Amino acid sequence: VFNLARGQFDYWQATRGGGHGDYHLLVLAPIDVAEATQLTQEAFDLAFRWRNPVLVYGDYLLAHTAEAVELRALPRREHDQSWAADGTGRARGGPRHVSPIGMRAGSKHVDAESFWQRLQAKHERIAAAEARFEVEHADDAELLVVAFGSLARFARHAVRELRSEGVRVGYFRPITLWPYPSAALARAAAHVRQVAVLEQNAGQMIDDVRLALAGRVPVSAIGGISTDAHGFGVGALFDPETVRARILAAHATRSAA
Amino acid sequence: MKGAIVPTERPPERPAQRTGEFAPELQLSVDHDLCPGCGEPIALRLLLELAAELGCAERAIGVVGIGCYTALGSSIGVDMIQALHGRAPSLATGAKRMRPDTLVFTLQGDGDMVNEGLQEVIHTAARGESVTCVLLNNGVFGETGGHMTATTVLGQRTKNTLDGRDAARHGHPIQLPEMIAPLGGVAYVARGSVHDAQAIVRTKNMLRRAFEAQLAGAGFSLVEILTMCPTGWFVPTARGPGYLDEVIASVHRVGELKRRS
Repeated sequence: VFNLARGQFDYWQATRGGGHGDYHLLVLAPIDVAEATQLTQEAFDLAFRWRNPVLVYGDYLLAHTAEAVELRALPRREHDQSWAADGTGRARGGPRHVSPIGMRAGSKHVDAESFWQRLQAKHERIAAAEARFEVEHADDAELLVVAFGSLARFARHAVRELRSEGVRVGYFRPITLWPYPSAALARAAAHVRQVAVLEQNAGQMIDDVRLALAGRVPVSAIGGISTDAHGFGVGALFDPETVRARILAAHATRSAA
Repeated sequence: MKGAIVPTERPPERPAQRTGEFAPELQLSVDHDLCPGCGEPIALRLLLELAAELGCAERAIGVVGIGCYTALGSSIGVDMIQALHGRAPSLATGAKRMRPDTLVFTLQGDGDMVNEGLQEVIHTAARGESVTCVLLNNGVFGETGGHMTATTVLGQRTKNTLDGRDAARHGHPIQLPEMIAPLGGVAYVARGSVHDAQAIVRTKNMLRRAFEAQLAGAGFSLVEILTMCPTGWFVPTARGPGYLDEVIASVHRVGELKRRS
């Protein structure tokens, strides 16, 4: 599943689930076109490995950006597909039923409770195995900037630029939005004085940042609603100078306090 | 003595046999949880009998929609995929394209196929996919309480048309086979019924021709099967077959609409 239509307003939809059911999607958020080509391949691999839907969550800027990339094919991995309903079930030990409601061949009733419990156990295994992130300059940072997707590219650029000028800022980017790399974020933020969340919405991922840090570090929002006249595109926030200024302002606020 | 005729001149020496005791090989359950007088289990039974008779028991995939008949899904003795409401023809398309040697059929109700998923079945037919879509038409959303569907006939009482379906308020019923038959990708279209023994035999022959068309790669096939829903129709259980024959089948006419060889 892909969502590349708009800005970053669909974070909750992507990570909290867009339909009914006690479930999670794996959510991959590429930062640029090159990473999108990699993560899109991995999405299929992850979907087969975990038998779980995977969402590639990009944004309008990514969808409309043309970049030269070197396409590298992932090594092909074999996955167990003995569950697949390919018609041969009776010849292979019994009919297979592929059902989202826990219905099994020959069962009198739907075994929904054990089905959902198995699903939760799988979610825990996914969470332990698949959380991915990118971190830079966190060790001695005073301020850690957290961003995802296209906007993280602006944040990373600004942090690198400010570092070269001696400003002690760090950068953290979740690559998987679910599972959220909470433990890695907590480690990256262990010694910072403040965390600033840059996202193009009224404040959605900031919930996951706060959950990961559990009140140990002050968290502020330096992004916000920012869109063009069509409501789809990229607003004034998608500007290196604007992002740099907001990071600097957050850093100065904390330093003055 | 399975299948023996029970003598009637004296009281039976053993309890009467249930239809389930004659269950075909691919029917995993001998009873069902649907209402007394429901026609859907008969239709499923015909499908499963045919899958075996055509030698497809080990190369068949059923795609089940959402309705009362979904509860019958676990008694399907071939590989089965549970679809979202109305989307079975698209899943069947994918299954057939990846496994062209299999027999692929959908099992959908009128609420599923004609209300929720009308465009799915029309596009699948127009593409000429070699799958067989089976429409169990009882004229009501039985599973959710017996409300009007797109096939409910004028004058028919349902939970939300208590005074009968009124064309001015509720529009006219859709006769799906009549819509599908003219499309170029379509090989076989028929409407059968399960209201009596003769109709059941006739319907089984329709399903057989539909499956044969599919296995020959002739294109899309659709069999609509009128089924009784005495609960949804507000008629006594025993009156269900008669109501189907006199009221429902007077609008949704039984017969073959297209047979392309």
